[in-house]
Amino acid sequence: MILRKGLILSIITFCFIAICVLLWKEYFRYSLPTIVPSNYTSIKTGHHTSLFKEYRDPVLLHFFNPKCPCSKFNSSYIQSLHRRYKDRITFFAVVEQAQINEYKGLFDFDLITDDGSIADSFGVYATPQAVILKEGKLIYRGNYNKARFCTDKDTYFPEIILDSLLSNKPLPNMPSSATKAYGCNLNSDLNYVTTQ
Amino acid sequence: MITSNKNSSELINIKPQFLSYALSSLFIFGLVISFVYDTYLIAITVGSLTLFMYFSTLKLAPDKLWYQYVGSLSLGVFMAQFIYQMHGMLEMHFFAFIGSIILIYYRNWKNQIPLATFVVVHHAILGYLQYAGMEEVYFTTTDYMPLNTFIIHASLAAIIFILCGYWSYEFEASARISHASNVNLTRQLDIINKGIEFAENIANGNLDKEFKAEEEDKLGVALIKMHQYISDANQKNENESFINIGIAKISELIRANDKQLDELSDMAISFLTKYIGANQGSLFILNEFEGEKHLELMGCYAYGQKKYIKTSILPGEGLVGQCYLEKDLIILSDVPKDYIRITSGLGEALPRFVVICPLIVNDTVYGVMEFACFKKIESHKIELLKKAGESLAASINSLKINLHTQKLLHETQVQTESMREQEEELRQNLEELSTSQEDLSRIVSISESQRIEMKIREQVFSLTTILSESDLYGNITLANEKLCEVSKYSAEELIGKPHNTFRHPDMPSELFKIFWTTIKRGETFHGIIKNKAKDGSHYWVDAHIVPVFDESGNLKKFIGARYHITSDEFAEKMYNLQAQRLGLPLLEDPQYAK
Repeated sequence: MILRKGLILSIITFCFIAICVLLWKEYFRYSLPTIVPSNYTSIKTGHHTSLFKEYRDPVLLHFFNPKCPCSKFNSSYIQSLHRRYKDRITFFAVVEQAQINEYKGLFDFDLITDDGSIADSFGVYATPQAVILKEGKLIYRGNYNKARFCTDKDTYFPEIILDSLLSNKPLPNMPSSATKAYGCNLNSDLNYVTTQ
Repeated sequence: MITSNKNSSELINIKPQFLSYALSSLFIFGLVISFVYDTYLIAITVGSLTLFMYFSTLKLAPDKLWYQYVGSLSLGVFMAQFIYQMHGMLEMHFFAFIGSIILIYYRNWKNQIPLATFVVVHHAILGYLQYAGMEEVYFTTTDYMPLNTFIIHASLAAIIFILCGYWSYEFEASARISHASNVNLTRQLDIINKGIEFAENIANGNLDKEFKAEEEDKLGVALIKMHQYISDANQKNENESFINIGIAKISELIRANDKQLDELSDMAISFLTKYIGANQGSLFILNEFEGEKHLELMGCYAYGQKKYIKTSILPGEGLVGQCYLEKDLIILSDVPKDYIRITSGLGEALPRFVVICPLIVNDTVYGVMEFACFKKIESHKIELLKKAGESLAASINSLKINLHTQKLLHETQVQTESMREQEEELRQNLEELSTSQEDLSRIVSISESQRIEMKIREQVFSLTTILSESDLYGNITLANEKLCEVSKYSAEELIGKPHNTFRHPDMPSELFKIFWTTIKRGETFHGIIKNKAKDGSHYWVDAHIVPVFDESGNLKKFIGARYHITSDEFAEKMYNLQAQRLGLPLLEDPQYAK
């Protein structure tokens, strides 16, 4: 009886811990800010790069990792965003070389395979992240929403930026919740970290 | 917390499968919604772990209610999983309520506790994190949940859990009541079925079946009464038929053995002993010997050694003798230690029960029976013994009468025989008599002719001879015609007269002295005597007087024969010669004196 009770209790404990671990790994972990890589160099908005200079329309780079659960949280939102702005804005999905095989045409826009250099150029170290460029100038780099599932109506940050850009309005100041990264680290950074 | 409360689950017939199906369905639901946000990993891993947790508990302790509590927890985990899978969709919180409702099925309010606890802890942690400033911690899709909203949310959850728990409790209570009434009904049905079975047994005549009625089982009590009644009636019947059969057999025995008293006694006692199931029996029969009454052992059954038994008992001696005097049964249920012992090949034992029964009919005791037994002899058997005693008494009586009659008959026969013999003798005598009679008649006929001849002779005689007869005293008994002619008397005058009637005075008395002396000597007197006739004249006779003797030689009578001498002269001369010879005086007749 006692043995059985103990066995059941240990099974329950094991399962519960396992569930907690799983949920943590797949879910709650992403509620915390992403660890900043040690060699991270912050790139400020307004920084000019040679990348995507040729595009006249604003460009939105969607840093995406198909393996990252957090990246998938807002995929549907990204799709709807693309549908709304595709005529005036060019969308690109940026996927790292390592995860390119898992990406299976999830989005309706073009894919760019990154070896880490593009991310580094814009100071991106986590997915999902949005980067908005206007003729090579970094306009915005940050989260899509305060909420991971892009459910907060007041904090659709890229939309605010894009609307301002398209209507040539001065860009509003973004709160810290817009720039503080949540989600998975980029694979290149992790590699870097581990190789350190 | 996880206490054994299996009674309720057992009595309400609850299936653990219900929760299994529910959790499996939730698992599938998790797989389905994983399409929405691509959450297969969580749906499969968390769902599988949850199911594993639940099913292993169910498998390991199917007899406990633990699976319910683990299932309750699992429902909470699925809720959390769905909230995660649907990215905090508020509607997924309803799964807590669905889980709570699912748990009502088990009618165990306690199983709400793990789910409620899980939900409270889950919400509290996440809510705390949110309020602690970690704005990025979301468990709702709303960007911000104010405290009052959370309170309402929590209150609703609390109400749901409390209500569901309450329903569980209510349902359990009503289930218990219905179960109790069910149990009661089943019991009643069982009682009725038993009653039916019992009644069927009675109907089939199987009265030996035991039946015990419960206190409230009125039908059972009635059945028992009925059973008792029928049993009693049956017992009575059986007892009566036992008695009747016993009496019939005894009568048969008596009929078959109505000649020998000792045989009958032996057969009757051994039959009765066996029939009433006694172990030992003996039969004493009253005998009278030289006017003294005593009870004699005539038959016994299963007595150890016959020679040790007292074979003759006086009235009033011991219980048997007492029974004879009292003319009533003696029943001993507490047998004294030194009383008879029942013996068998294996040993001997003291009987527990002894019945002594008189053989009595018409208030007369003819004998006494005694039975010993290990167990109590029932009253109907004793009744049988009484009746058998009567039969035996009657038969012994009739047997005795028969014997007496036979004896009488025998005596009569003997007498008859002797009478017959006497008769035969008589007959022979008669025959002889008749023969002798014939002889006699022949003789008579002979003597008749002789008589006639005699008469003729007599007539001839009476022409010449004067004949008379006299008794010993000289009285005339017979006188013939010649005498009457000569003496001139009639015969009638002469009979009975003395002879000296004829005496003539001329005759001296000395002559008559000689005369009497002679005849009395038994000698014949012969002489010449002068007699006197009726007219006074005289006549002379030459007389011969002869004495006659009987067979024994005694003088019987005298017969006198005389011849009439008609010449006086001749007669006188003859007489004088006679007188000279006798020395008597001569006749003084002048005629002769010359």
